Amino acid sequence: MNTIAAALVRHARTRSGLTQRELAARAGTTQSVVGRLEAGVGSPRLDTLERLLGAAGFRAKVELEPIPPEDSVIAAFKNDIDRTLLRQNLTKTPEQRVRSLQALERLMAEARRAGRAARRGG
Amino acid sequence: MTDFARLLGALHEGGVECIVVGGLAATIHGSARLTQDVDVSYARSTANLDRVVRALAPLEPYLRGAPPGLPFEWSVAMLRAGLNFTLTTAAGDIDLLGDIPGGGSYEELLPHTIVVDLFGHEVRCLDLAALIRAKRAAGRPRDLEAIAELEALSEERGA
Repeated sequence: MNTIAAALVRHARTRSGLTQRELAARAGTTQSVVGRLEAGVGSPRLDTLERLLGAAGFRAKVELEPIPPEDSVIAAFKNDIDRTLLRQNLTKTPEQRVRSLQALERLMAEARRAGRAARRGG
Repeated sequence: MTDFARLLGALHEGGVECIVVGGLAATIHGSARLTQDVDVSYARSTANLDRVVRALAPLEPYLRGAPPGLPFEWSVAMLRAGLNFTLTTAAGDIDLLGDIPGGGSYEELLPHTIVVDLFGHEVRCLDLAALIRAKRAAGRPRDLEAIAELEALSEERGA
């Protein structure tokens, strides 16, 4: 809830061209409340969220979305996933994850180059 | 080979309003699967199309898979005439997506994003739940394994 609320308020505010202070004034609150909410700190009450979005000129539309039934193929793939690798990745920062991907890309490019060279040699 | 830092840096330094989606977004969330291009959803305002053109022009974008020598003009007019573009550049492959199945436009995706620090740039990335929804909506058989991994990541994060 807090990350969705943060993104909604930030998006509504920036689309209205308001600063956090201006939005806070319109909603009868303080800049620090808006700042904390946009930073994803705490879980705002629904009426607080509606008041802030309304002050920015928006109204939230909430819809129920059915959770799709478990797909048997996806479930089978999921059983086969090496979760130790995922857990290892989750200990890294996003940048470290992308750097690892880049390193693998380099390795693959080098393997392809070596393969081509071998075929030419053969 | 795709130079992720260079492509993301060009977009960020050019002030391009865009969201990383696809395989690179999955990597950012912890996926162990390989991806070889950068997929971004981009805002279709004229101002942003101009930013996209200026940001990528030094990387000499060209239509991926097209024969060389086509009269391809990298311009705002060209971007306005289309929606989704698969491009190759001097820094690797990039897909510019004006609309993604199950996600919609840049503006529709925006509330479902996170901002991560990559190579000194603040990069906006589709959040994990929205990424799973988009891949499910795409309905491509090759995405089934990726969806399974993303769902496993979601479970691991909640664990």
